[in-house]
Amino acid sequence: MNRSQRFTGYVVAVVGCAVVLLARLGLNDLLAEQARLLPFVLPVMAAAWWGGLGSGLFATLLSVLLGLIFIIPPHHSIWVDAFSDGLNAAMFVVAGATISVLSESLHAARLRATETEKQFHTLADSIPQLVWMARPNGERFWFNKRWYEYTGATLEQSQGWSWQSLHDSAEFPRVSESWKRALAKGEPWEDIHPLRRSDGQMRWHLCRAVPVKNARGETVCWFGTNTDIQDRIEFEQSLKDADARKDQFLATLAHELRNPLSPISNALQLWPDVEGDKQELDQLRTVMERQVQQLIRLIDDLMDVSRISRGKITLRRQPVELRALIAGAIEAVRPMVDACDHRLSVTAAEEPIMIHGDAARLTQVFSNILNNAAKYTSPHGAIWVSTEREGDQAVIRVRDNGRGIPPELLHEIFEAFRQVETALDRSHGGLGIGLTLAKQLVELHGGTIEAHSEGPDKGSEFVVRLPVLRAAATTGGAQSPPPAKSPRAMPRHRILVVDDLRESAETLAMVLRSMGQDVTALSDGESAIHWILAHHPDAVLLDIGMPKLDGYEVARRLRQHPELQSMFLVALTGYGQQSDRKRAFEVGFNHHLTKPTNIDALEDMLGRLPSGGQLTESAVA
Amino acid sequence: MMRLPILLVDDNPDACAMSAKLLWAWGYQADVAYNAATALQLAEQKPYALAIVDYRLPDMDGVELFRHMRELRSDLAGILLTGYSSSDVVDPAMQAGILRILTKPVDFKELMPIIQEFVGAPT
Repeated sequence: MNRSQRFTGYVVAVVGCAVVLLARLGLNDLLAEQARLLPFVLPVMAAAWWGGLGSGLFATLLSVLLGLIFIIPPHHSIWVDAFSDGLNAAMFVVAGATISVLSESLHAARLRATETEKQFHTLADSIPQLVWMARPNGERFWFNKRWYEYTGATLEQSQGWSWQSLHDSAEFPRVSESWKRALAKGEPWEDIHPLRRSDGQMRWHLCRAVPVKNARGETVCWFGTNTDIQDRIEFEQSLKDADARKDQFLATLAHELRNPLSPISNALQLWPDVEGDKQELDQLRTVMERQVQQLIRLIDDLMDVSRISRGKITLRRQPVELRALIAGAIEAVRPMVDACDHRLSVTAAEEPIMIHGDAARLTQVFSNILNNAAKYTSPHGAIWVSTEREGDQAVIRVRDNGRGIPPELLHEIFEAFRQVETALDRSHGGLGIGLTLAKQLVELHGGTIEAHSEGPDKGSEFVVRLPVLRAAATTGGAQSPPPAKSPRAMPRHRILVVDDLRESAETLAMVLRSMGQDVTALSDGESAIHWILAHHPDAVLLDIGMPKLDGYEVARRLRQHPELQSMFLVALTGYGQQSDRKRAFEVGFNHHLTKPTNIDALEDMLGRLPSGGQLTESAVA
Repeated sequence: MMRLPILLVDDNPDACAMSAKLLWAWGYQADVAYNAATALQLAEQKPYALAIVDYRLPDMDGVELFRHMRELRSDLAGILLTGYSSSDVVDPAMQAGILRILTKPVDFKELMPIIQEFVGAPT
């Protein structure tokens, strides 16, 4: 109770006592000895109500004093004639004090109630839930601020049963039924239903209401809250989806890992039956090798995705020629493309395009994209690969006339474990991480990858953009690797490249020509031997994995000719086939290159060539 | 008596080739198909005693393929190969009349008694 209230109490006491005194004096003839002090109860109560205990007691004493002086005989004295008058005055003091104490506590209680109500409103307005109160018959009469903010409705549009307009009309009968059941039983209510937001969106809410009961157990009102659980529902759903994708992925993984085991296991079972038949054994070995490679590729992919997502991959960047990368990728997917009888055409930019990248990783990117194109194109389809330079960017396009990608999945296909999910597509094999890897690796190179498709059966196109290594960088830019020697500084040699994959041979030849070499490309071992015997080149780059005559066999036959004993022979093997290297040296190769080859490795190889080759001499002459 | 041939369907050509070689080595005739469309064409042309079908095929799942083949030849026996058996594979496979579901890689020594039962002893 503040000072002004106390002051008001004293004023009320003085004014009240004066008014009552005047009124009592006016009625003295009528009342005579009756109710001499009783009317003073009114100013005592009023003063105590306004000003609390102090002003109540003050009014009591003032009343007794005024009564003794003006009303109770002998007048104009505080003494009394009759004992009973004294007793009455004493009783009035006790009654006045009691009224004052009671009024004070009543007032305090009222203040506390106001305070509590204020706290309740603050609390109700601060929580994120929608809060409401309803009468025992279910009519709602109060809502918190959040309710009005969420629904955009006014009190009139919400109170009573008007709130039903905010419900889904299909759901409301059920909601209303269950609410009425709770009202009848007087038991807490819980329900999950959609509630319209001010923007019209229906969002799911968890609604709970509890009855507030009085001492007799009667429901006085209901207190209810609505909690928006839409985000939680969506989050739960996304977790469920992710979990389902993980299960699907594990099933796919099991299948994909077991798939290559079948032919391996069968080949082993066949082994005893064909022992002694070299051709048959070779075939079994080829099958087993191919399937083991497939297993290794699957596991490598799996590990790579994990490594990249944990940021544990390091790129071994160096200047690489784009065509060599594409050729390497084509070689990797060639078995699949051939098996599906797809037509693969390559349109390469005329000028060599150099990229500062990890050759093995970029080859992986393009082989994953090509693999995808081959996989999602029906047999006898067409795949087009093109490379071109657009300003500072190398642009690689891989287009097919296959099944295409539904528009709603275009933005999702780079997510891990996402394959176009229909019953049919699950049979396409692969772990569904090829494109994820491709995207991550391209981005690690500072590039971008996009997918385009006009829709189902309209084919798809993947566009990779990578920053081109600028000329300045190749000759010693701040970020460049060890400065490349000028290709022109190399002595000119006559070189033969032999690879059964014509594009691969041609690409390598192009790169070597750009380094000032005189290069011929051939695609089979037999014609290579004839050409070598006729032209005696300085160096021969031989692919190891060729059908009919493989690289080892060609090398062995060449070394049988005494005049070719000192010719520089280079073995070309696929990425990661380290064991081939040892065998290559055993059969007489001088050097080994891993495909796709990079400029540094080629320069290093050229540097090892014995100087004084025919062309160098003729050039000197 | 001439035994009816066996049809192998698997999209992994190496798997087909190896299984076919094993069957030939043991005196059975076997044809191979790398997808469901080819398998159905073959089934239309030739009376097969048994189809050994991979669950994951590029154009149809193995169970559905077997159902279609059964429409062509109601007495065709079927074995399903899968990398991962779960109830959503097993139940429809059983309903389609597939006799055995085997997890890859399959030991042909285990497969032989089943083949003998439905195709007969090798010729």
